[in-house]
Amino acid sequence: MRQIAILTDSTSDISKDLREQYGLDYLKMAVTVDGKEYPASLDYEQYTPAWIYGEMRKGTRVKTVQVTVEEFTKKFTEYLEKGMDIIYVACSSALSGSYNTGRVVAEELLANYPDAKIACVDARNSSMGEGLLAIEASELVKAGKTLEEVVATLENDRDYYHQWCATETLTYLARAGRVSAGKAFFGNMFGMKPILISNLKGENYAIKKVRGRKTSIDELATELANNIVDPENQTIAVLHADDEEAANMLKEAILAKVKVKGIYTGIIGPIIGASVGPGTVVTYFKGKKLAL
Amino acid sequence: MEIKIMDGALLSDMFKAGLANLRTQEQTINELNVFPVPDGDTGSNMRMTIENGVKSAVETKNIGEYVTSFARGVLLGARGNSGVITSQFFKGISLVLKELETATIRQFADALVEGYKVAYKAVVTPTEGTILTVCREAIELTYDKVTDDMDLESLLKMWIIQAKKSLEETPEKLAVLKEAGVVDSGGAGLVTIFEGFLKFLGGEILDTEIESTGHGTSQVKPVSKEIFNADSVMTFGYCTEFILQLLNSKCDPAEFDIDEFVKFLESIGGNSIVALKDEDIVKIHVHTFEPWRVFQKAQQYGELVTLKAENMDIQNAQTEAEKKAKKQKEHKAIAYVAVCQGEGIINLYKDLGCDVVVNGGQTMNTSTEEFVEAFKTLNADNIIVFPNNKNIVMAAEQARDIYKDANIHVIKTGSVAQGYFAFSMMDVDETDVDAQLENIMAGIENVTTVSTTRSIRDTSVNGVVCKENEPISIVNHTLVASDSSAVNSTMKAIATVEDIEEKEVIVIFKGQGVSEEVAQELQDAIGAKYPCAEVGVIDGQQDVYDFILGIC
Repeated sequence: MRQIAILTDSTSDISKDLREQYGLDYLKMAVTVDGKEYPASLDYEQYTPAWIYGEMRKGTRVKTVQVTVEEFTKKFTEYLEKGMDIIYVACSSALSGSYNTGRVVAEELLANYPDAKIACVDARNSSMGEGLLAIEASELVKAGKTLEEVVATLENDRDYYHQWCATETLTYLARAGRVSAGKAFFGNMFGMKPILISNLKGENYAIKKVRGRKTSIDELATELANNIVDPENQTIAVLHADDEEAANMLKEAILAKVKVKGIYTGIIGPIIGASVGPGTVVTYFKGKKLAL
Repeated sequence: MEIKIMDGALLSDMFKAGLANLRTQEQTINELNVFPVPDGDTGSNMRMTIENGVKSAVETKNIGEYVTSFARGVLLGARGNSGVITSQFFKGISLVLKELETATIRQFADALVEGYKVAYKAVVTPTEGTILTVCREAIELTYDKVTDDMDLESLLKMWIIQAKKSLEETPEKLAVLKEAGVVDSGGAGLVTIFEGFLKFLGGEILDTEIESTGHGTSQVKPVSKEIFNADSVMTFGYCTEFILQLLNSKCDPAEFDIDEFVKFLESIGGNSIVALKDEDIVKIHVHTFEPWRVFQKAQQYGELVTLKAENMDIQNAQTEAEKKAKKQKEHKAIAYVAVCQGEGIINLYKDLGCDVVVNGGQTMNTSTEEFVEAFKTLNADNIIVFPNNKNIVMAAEQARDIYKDANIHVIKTGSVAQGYFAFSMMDVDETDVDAQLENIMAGIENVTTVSTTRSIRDTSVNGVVCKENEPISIVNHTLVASDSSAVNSTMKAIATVEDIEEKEVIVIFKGQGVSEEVAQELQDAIGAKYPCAEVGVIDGQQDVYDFILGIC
């Protein structure tokens, strides 16, 4: 049986340790700050997260570049040459064009590798929502599932990964055009914290707003407690966009309500960070089927 | 004047005199303010309320018809709590008299009884020591003495004596009055109106002229060429109204035959004729194509005291255009009407998705009619109303009861800060009104309002000593602090807010005339003292208040 490589991309926010533990690789996107382009590396060799969020706070426009055809061709070819099949767990197609580019490139490449398979799976989520799905893919492969079985399971299970996210402001989301909510939601709302979920379509959906920082963090913990399934046996994720204090508050609030196996903590990378903005805090976990 | 039978013309003259008398006392009544805060002035509110009744009343001898139209006008013009209560008082009076051609003094006394009863019903929790007590006790303590051959002057004299006694006792019944050392302003207004009635009966001449007389003339809109132009053909004629002073030099006023004059009006094609003669004064209302002929005829007997002739084609076209504009307005499940003051706040509400923003609320209380007019411009199943001041909640509720083309929901927002939080917590695209009301209530919950203004006089309230023109600060509706600096006064007030250390959001609305530096100073002071809270400044540009803060 051919081996299967699991690839994801820059928005998955999977740390080096986790990538090594689960044998994951990723496709790089890029970010431009003030016109200068940097690769969106998950290991932050060329800049620190604090620097990029600092630039955003100063009002510098940070733009993002999806995975290029060149990057896809290079990475896919690398694994195909090793005689491996590929499952690409992609950032939500509602947020990035990478999924579609990946499928087009895969189809072209496969003409030259008639025995190989490449499956692109739209995670319909981003950050560790996407990352957790990639980890699940790796575990399924390890358990000996076929590529078709893994893909079918992922396409079912993606509807069970929750994102509960509190942003500092809607300004960044509105500017990036990457949120689904009424126009009026973006009014001048001092002190209001929008709560975003990733819905069944993979959109960042502003489900409600609450008042005040602490209240918003408590709200995320409450929603986690209401929606999580089998918490003792899963490692959830808590990430932040340059607000470690908020992430710690969220962890405490969650642990006060439910017992989980573990918590992956980390930073929301600059790609998603550019659309949610500094000060954002988010949790990802597997739970009840998404209602929206 | 010994009057035992009352008709519409008499009531009209009495009410005009009541209004005139109220106008002379307007400022004095305004000053009977318990709070040293420059808010909705009772004297002005009541004057405008009654004025709208006088303006919109139909001049007729039929007392039922007259008083019904007067009460309707008062209802629509009602401003402020006292105005609304007054409007209900007159509504009660009209309910008793509405079927009558003329009324006896006993019937009028019955009407005064019904007046206070309807007024009480209008208030959810009636407070004694207010205008309600005055209008109740005045007739309760008079009614037993009413006899069948009593004349109007005697009844009014007794009513006023009891009303004044009741008014003087209001501070004993209501602690806030006693503390401020004043009597109830609404009660004082009502007594003043009745004293005007009595002055008229006693022959005292009051200046009953109302500025901007007649309906429609106060808001003359420029006439568009599309409405009336060189090719127009007149179809409705002129609404012609005047008051004629009969002159001894031109005729014998006593012999002037009003019926003959009506026949003349009919002979030139006049219709909708209302003609009244009261001694040497004649009042005429007629729709005609040739108003000049009416004036010319009238001048044969005297001179015109007031006159107007309005082109009804234009009036009609404007009304139709308004109706059409409304029909074209996009239908909405829920529309929003907010009352607020200050350009910054008005723009903010518009940005937040408010359909109509009515300017007013503080020193100028919004009238029932203004609310109804705002509702009329909307095409919606539900209209949610955000008053910014407790003094206009009643007018909004009265408008809700009158208006039938939409379900009106009045949110009891007592301040612009509450309104702002209510608005910012809702999803303007929501179409389910119950869900939206729930969002709104969640937004208002736990919002504390701190406002800082200037004391209108030297006084002491709740043990807080305030000097005239010095900053004073109010938490919700209680005055708690005063200081020579607006920032310090505000900080003192904030410190009294319950659980202030745990509050997460403080938004400051900066008033007109407050510099950015001063607002920044307040923002910095709050930020330093309450690190848990997020503090922001919005340039509200409101008058009266240096700062309005919403804390939650």
